[in-house]
Amino acid sequence: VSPRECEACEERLPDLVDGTLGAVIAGEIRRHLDTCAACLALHDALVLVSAELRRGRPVPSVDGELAARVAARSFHRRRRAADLWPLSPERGGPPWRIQVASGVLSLAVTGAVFLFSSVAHGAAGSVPLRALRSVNESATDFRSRTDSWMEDVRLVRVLVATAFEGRLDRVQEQVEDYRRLLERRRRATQPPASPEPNHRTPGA
Amino acid sequence: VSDTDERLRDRCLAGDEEAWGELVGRHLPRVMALAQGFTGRRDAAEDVAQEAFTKLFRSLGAYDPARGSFEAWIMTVARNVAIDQYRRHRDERLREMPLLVEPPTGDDAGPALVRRREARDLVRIGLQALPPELREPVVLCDIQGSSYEDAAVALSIPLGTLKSRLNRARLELARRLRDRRIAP
Repeated sequence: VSPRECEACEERLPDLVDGTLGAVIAGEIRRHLDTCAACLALHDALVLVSAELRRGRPVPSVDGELAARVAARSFHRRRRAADLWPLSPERGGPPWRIQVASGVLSLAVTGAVFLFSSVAHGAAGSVPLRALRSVNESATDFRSRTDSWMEDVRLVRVLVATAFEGRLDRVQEQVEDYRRLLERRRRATQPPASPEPNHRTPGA
Repeated sequence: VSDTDERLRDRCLAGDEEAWGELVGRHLPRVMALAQGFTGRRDAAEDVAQEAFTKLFRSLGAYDPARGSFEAWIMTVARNVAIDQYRRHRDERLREMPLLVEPPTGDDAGPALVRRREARDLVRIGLQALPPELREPVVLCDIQGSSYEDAAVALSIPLGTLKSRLNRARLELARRLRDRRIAP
């Protein structure tokens, strides 16, 4: 028996034990096993390994109690999810359009109440003028906050993009660039400073 | 005559809890067998089955008969849940070693029982010594009974690679037994 034959046999032994080898090749391997004690010993060991591994294989057993529990939990979990919106049209609630219109109306009423309360505590002037001023101030405040958020988002985007490019060495550089840009913008939007007396004498 | 799966599904969609119970009872054994193949533990398999049937119930309306049988659809959903669960706990599963079952003492006695125990211990030690990429297919397919196809998907490797790794691992374990002259 040549070592090459043994090598070829070893390669195919697991498939032989597994029963997945074709009949012709399986016959050849069996003939080799009849003449080679070492390969036969390996074959027997493989059979034993297979048996030992499979002995621990769990045998699934399903009783009626488990089936009832699984069915009840899955059924009622879904029911609870549907119950989150009990007014859905499928459950006999009003049509979606009416529900949306009601939502918009309630938001408008709430907004009006807030507006009225802020106007009542506001500065002097006619009611429409104070209301207009209040709305304008709120819009300005909101816009400035949005600008600030957008600047933050842009900064994060630049950082992430640079990091993704693998240029970690450039991250700090990008941050500095962006910081300078923000500083320029801030100075541009600030009102010009009042002229201060110049204490330095020309040519000093 | 019991209802077909499709008929039961229609009844479930109409809110019939009894029909859902019948459908679960009909398919739970196969789902549990599949889940145990991935988890190797009964409690974990029950969790997988629960999650799978909850998903199934939520998406009952999405089943399309033109794309295959209802049973095949159920098994696909269950398989996806089991694979997701397996991948979530993969590191944990690699750390914990599956217990090989003690040989029964009923028929064998004396030297035969000692030999079998020795074989089991050698296999266990051999499993621990295997690298993870060889041990995982053995645990999934041989010990837990998962199919080769399912195991290949769970491990994200081609079927041929899985079989090759399985064969290498089995040979490695068998050589340990042969070298100690332990035979069946």
